[in-house]
Amino acid sequence: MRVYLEQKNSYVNAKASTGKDLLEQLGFCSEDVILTCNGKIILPEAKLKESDDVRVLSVISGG
Amino acid sequence: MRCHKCKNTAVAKSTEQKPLCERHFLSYFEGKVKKTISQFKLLKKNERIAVACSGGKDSVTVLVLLHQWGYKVTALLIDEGIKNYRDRTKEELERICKTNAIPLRVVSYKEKFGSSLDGILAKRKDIRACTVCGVFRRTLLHRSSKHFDVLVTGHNLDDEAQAALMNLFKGQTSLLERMGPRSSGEHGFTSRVKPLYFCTEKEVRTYSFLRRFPLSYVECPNASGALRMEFSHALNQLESLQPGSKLHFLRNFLKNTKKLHTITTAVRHCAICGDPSSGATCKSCQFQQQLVNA
Repeated sequence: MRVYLEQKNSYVNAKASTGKDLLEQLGFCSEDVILTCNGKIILPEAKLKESDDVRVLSVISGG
Repeated sequence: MRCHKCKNTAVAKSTEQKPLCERHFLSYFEGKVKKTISQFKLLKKNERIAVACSGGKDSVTVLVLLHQWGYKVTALLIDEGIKNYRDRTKEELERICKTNAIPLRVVSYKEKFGSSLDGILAKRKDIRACTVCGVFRRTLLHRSSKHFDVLVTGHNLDDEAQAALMNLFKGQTSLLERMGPRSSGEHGFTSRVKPLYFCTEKEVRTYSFLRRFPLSYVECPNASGALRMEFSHALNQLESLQPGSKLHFLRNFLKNTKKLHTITTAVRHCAICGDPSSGATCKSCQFQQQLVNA
């Protein structure tokens, strides 16, 4: 699946069956980000499908 | 995973790790902010309230919530002059204030100190942005909030846990005693309150996403090298292994800070601007002479 990384404003390809798998593969700490799937926030435990539009949003913004 | 209250799909978990759907997360979050305001007696309905706004998720969340609950708020934005960052968040804040009919006041470094932060950094490569920015922002917030009863900031649990850890790390015990959801208005300072004190940064981001606040969630370009980010990642690693760690740390920290015997520096007044200062001249006037007027 294609995954959008908000912090880098870029896409990566990944293969993962759950949000947790995906975060581990991409090296994200679950507390640093939130995940959305098809426009809705999901918990890391949620299952993912190849066709899903997945986004990794950064929790840290501002400064 | 299902919401523990209504069995709809869960979008987040509470501090107690209970799954919550969108509707119940929104009410959980708002309930937490309301509880902080009432428990620590942060605000009264008839007070004139300035909300320090950057146009980021934290300050916008607290601004919109207080306005929604009937508090008399004015948004106060300090424009440091950081290209591709503050200009964007300022525009977003202007739009939000217009939509919600919230008064907005903008005060800029350029207007008050004679130079933008970008201008200072272009001249002086040896200066760290956050060092100057922290001092100038604090000065302008102090001066611009004088005619208000209280100054609200959007500091969240992560900000506070990071600050506590950093102050401990540096042994800055005089700063530790000033921490907490409310700081008093002594020495001519307007009292400052933090209604998001017990909300994690992740909860604030989730809340602002669910409320569909029109924000771009950009990060300050000067923040990337800051030591604070390292503390943020370390605390989040700990939180992911042991959920509730940050809250636990902050609560214990607040409880124990009261027992600390700290050395309080006497507050004088700056010989140049008259603002409260620990030295003969305040840091802000020193920076203005060294970095802007030089």
